[in-house]
Amino acid sequence: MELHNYLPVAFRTQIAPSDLKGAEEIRLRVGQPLEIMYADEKCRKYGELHVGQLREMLNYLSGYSPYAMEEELRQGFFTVEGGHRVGVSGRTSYQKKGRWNEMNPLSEINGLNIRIAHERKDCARPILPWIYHGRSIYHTIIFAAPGVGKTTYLRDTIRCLSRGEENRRGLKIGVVDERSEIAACHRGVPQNDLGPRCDVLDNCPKEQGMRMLLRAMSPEVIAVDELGLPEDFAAVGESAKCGVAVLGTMHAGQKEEVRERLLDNGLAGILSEVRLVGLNRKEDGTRVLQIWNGEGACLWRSW
Amino acid sequence: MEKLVGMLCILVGCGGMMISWQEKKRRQQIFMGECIRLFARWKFALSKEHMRLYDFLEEYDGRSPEMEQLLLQLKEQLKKNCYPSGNQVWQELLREKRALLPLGDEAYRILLDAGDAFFGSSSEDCLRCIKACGERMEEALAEEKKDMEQKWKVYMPVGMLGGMILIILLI
Repeated sequence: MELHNYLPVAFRTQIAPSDLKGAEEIRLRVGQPLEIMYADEKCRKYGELHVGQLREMLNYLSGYSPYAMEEELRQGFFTVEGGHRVGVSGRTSYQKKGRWNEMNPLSEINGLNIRIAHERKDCARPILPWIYHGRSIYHTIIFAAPGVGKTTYLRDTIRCLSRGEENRRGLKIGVVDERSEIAACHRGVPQNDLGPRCDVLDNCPKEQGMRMLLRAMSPEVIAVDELGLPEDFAAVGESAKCGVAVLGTMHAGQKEEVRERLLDNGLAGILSEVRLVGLNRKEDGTRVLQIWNGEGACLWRSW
Repeated sequence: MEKLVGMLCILVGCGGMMISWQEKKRRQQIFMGECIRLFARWKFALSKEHMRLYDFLEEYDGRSPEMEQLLLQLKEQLKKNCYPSGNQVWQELLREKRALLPLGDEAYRILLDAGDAFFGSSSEDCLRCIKACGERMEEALAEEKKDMEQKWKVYMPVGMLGGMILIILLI
């Protein structure tokens, strides 16, 4: 379904479908104008949103079945057809479940943030020659500041590796998609193209998912988004011990930060088999890629 | 000879009227049964499979053509994303199709109220409404069957007697 069709009827007349071209986010907050944010950080504002319109949009996004998304609303986001991710803000409440408090689905919803999915196919092609290692790949960490495009590059790297190239067979890739951002599964079906040899564990914690994939799916590469917690790195170490390469992303500005975190989490042993891919955004929106080996020596840089 | 043909025509006419009344009632009962089946299937889909209404409508195999038509139109209207609330679509569609649906007044009212079973604000609300509507529809169906039996007992002899009296009067 066209994203334009999810907008409240009153806004559909003000916003042309072409206005959504190049948009990265649509933000809706009760009592505020509807905002469309573009890649070049420009922003357009339309009218003023009231509660009824927000409810109307939630109806459209959920196929008139917001109750079917109660599980997703507990986590604060859900994915719609086309792979667009909808973040939700509202009132949280808890109920006692055994010894713990469990969060109820969000209620009194007051804001939505639609992150528009856009695959940039082949953007990761320049990385591939630097990460191939024999028949598999090096452990590869793509790092950047938030919002620069780590997940987009990760997704395309997965797609390219899974497809293979003329003189390379495609690799079996297990994807642990904790926040439904990589594959963007909607009703269990990946909305993004991840190539033909991908097994996706949707909405699964990274650490558990990596272990499940190792046990069950015999992957050659495990791909995960946003490595950060000590248990994530422990699972990376386990995968490495099993001879499975890890392709992941990390929030970091400098390669030293990434190296430090790998060292702090007991992964010094795999540094010789690591490639670090740094991603930066120039003022005009173009991305600069730089690749280092695990020791910190620069291998390549795009200008 | 003409008298005999006339008598037969009157008797067939009376019989035909009664059969058509019975057929109308039977269609109403089938449709009410189909509504109960719809509620039961939706209850299962919602509580066990957390299904969206779209997907349910996609999968549901209606056994009455009227119900199939109704649900198909509902699905098409919802897909247009032009109504702020799904309940509004449901109410308008039912009002529009009122004359075509084989429904008595009570069953129609229950079906109107069933909007909350499909478009409630939470699954608990929906399930509560499904349960209430299902029970009401079962009661209405039982009442309808009882009513039909009683009326049939009266209409049958009265209809035939009426036909005979008409014949005697005409002779």
